[in-house]
Amino acid sequence: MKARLALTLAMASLWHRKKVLALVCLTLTLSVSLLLGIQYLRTEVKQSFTSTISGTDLIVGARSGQLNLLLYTVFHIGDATNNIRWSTYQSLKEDSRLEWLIPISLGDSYRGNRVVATDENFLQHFRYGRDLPLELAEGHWFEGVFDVVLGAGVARSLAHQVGEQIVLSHGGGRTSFSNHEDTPFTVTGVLAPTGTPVDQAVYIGLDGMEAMHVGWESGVAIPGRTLTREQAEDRDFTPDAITAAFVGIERQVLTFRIQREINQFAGEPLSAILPGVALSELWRLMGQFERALLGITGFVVITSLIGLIAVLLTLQAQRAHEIAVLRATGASPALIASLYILECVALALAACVLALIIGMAGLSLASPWLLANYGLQISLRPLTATEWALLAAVPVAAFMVALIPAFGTWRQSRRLGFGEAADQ
Amino acid sequence: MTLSKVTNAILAATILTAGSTFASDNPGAHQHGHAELQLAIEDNQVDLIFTSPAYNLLGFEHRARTEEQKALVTETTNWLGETPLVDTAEAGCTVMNAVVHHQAGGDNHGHDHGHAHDHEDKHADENGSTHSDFEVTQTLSCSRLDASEALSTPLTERFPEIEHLNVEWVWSGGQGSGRLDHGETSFRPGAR
Repeated sequence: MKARLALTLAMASLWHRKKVLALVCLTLTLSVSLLLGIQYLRTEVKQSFTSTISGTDLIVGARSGQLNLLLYTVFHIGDATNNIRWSTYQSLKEDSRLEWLIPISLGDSYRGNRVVATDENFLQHFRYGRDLPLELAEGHWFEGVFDVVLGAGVARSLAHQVGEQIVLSHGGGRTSFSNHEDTPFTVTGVLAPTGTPVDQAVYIGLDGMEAMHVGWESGVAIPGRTLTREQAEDRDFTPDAITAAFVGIERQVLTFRIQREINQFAGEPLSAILPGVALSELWRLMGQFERALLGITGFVVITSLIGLIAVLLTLQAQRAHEIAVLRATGASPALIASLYILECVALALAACVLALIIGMAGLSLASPWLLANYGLQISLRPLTATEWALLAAVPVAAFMVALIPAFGTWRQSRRLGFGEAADQ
Repeated sequence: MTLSKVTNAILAATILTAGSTFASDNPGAHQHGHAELQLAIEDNQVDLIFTSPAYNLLGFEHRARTEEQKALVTETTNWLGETPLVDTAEAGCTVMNAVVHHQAGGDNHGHDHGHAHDHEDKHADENGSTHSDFEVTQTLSCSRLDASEALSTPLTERFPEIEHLNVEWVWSGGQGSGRLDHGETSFRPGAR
């Protein structure tokens, strides 16, 4: 009976002050969204970074450190120290424990973007994020010697379409003076955005890489010795060496054993790294960044909760008249306290639900745009335990805040000496 | 062909062969205080490889000379062969198979455990290396193994000389690594 009375009274009181409450609710919603948003972003940025490459069990390259190999093969930062022989790649291919291999050959660039020479296995087996395959936004994967597929970022920033012809540059660097002008490449496809360094590269076949370097033995094109498109059609362009290979292993439990065997390969000094391990080491090196984000989350939690308390206390201060009337008509201190608590907790819950809805709607609307324009991959996912705990802290804090005026009312009634009378 | 060209060619050939013969024989890195634990987790089975300089485990790297040192080698080897080097929170892992390689010598010691045995790698001495390493491979069978839960290792507590233990893991959820400092015993492969 009492509970129902408290509920009806609380509803009536809330409805009476709906305009102010709407504003308070908006403020609360914004701070809860901020709180959740920062925490969400923190985990997603880490997730996005550590899943730059997934599904690849090993990366095999010339002997070097694991970070170096990871940086130049996956992030396109820095250069390869050495190449690996084509024969070595072939012998790796014969190993039945390896499910697939993606050859990677680097060295040239297109207006500051890496040229990656590979084969169709790249499209088939390369995975990023949560096991997402590469997809072509338009056109098809390269087939001919002088076909090129563009990463989404390259196609967007240089406004290239399928069918256009582009001239690749010899060596790295944004402004290269030696271009492969005799062997222009035709854009046959554009990859869909991935939010990874895949977007910032162009992809050609291993044969294309070889073909455009015919006649370039001295480092520049010697007139008359380079190939024309017609001459290239029926020549064999088996490379002597590749830069690295991405490897998929059939039984992942064998990963460390195969890594060890490759590292001890007698034919040539090789390094096999586990990309996931190297990525988590790289992330650890950038631990400052995560700590900074964690610090921001901490500040946001504190400010949001203090803001919440301030808003709720102001709200209660405005109710002095209403409470006085209720007390005069014989409402018990317990009823008044339950009114305060109900209101605060209901407001906090409403704000949480609204923040969740706004967050989810905002994220699902903004994520394709973020991916296309900033290469940031932030996907919708269920909240983690920490996030639920943060969210739960909001109604709990509201409950605690409501106890302050509730306790005040009770103390006032003791002082005035009609607490007992009202209870009877 | 001039003489210098010939010598150059020979030199180049020598360098090439030397490169291919010896490059894969680079001596492994050896850093006291550091050790490495690699885990491959599949269903309820864990395959692990633990490598550490002998110094971290014994306090010396030469062949065991005194009786005391031999006893220590035996004790350490037995412990490494019998104790699961990773475990779940409920201690649900048992050693199915363990192999301990080291060059520290000592008496031949059988293990109580069925499959466990240890090797003395004599060839290390032939290389004239003054360093020696322990390498332990274990196959564990664990009840209710969930890689997203915390796993623990007794290594950092058992061997205080290990200051940093690099843990690398592979499981169905992907790959990752972590670093345990002295006294830290647990890690979470599935942590976000």
